[in-house]
Amino acid sequence: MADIGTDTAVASYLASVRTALTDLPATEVGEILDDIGPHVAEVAAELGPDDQPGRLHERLGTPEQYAAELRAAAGYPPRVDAPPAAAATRQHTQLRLALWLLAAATVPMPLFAMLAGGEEFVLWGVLATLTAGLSLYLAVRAPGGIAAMAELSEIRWLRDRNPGGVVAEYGRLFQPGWWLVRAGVAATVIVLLVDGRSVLAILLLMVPLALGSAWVGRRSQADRRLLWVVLPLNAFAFAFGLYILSQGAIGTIGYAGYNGPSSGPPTPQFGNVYPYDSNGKPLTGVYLYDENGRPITSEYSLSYCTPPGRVLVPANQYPQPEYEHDYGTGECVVRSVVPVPPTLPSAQSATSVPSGPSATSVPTSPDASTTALPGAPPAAPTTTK
Amino acid sequence: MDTSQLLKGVLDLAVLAVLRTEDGYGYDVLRRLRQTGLDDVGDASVYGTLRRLYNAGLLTSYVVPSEEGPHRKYYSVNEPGLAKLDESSKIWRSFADTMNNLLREAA
Repeated sequence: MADIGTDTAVASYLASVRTALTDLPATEVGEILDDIGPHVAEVAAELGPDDQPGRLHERLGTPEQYAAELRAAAGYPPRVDAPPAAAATRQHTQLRLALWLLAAATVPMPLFAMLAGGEEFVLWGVLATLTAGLSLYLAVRAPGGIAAMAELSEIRWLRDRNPGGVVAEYGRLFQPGWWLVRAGVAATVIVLLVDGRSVLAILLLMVPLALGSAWVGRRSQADRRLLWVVLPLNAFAFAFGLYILSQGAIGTIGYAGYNGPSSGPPTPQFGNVYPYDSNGKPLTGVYLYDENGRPITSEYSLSYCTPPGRVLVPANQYPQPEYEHDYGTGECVVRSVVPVPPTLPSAQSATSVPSGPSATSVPTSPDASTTALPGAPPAAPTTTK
Repeated sequence: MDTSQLLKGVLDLAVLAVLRTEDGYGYDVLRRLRQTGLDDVGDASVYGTLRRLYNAGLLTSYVVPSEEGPHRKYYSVNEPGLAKLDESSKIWRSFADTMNNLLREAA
């Protein structure tokens, strides 16, 4: 009765029904097949051996139709399609990776950049650019694209904690101000990069940058792809702003990287040196050496600002001429120094109340009177080189 | 009129009624339903209905080995099943009476 062809057709039909029911509990599927197995076999036997698969389909419907009818009658939940679900998982994985990469470029990387400062700031910026680029690529290439990102559980979690868009409302309120701040930071970066330190240039640059900043801000609300540029850039702008503030004056930023201990003679942590003789008379042209005969230099020897016609003095000759940056003219000028008037050691009879070098200008020439060299220098200082 | 639509609502009742007369396996139930005149009953619908009644606790099942071919799983109506059949029968008769009266008046 049941020949090989019949068995194959029946087995194939039952296998297809089983496939269509895979979302049900395995025991239930087993029970169903216990019921319908003999049934399909008997139907096949009744139909005879000719064209078994075709006639089975004609008599019972396709395995999928059969399974659907059975499912409806049994009151099972509608099928959750397994293959599309797998695709959705892959899509979610890709979008989730994109989201976290973007988050990495937006939060920890600017933070690290800010903490590291100097040249490492640029390195972190490059890394964040690459990361954000990869993230954008993944998000755009994912099935469903960027729009499907809103379905990620992380995004939904954020949205649940933001009822009525409160955060967005506050964001809108502060947005114009932020666009301005961001333009200011960008202008500062550009001015620093071209090695100028003029506040005027920064202010002038800010005008076009603020307009561009506002335009990008508006655009990014329409084209979400710009978020991949705007978010990390904003974070880096913010980080850089904080970094500048932490460095104090704008002028010092360019040399922030050189403040650390360098090879060569130790650089003491003081500014200039104003020596006085025992009578409280200010001395100029004094050379300082340590116990090993190494010149003691101060940070003033690293002065960034070079006025026209500046005369170089040995780095250990004190007081060092002081220059400063005139923010009005953008030029270097000799700084007027009024150091704290010294209180001389009390052994000194009060011959004269020493008035410190309340000079409005400090001599800048190296050949200034070398009146007193307290003690012999370990090595004869070579004056001007 | 398409009886398959009508059948959907009363297949539970029909299957319970068939099984109260005598225990049966799936294909057996199907054949007996057809013999009584329910020609439109779908194969898969009967098996689905059997599974639903079983899962609802209205049927019990037992396996009978068969000399030829695969073993057969028989279903029988248990106490809750009989109560359900009783209740459903009353609802059906009341419903059928209502419909009959309605159609008689219309005729």
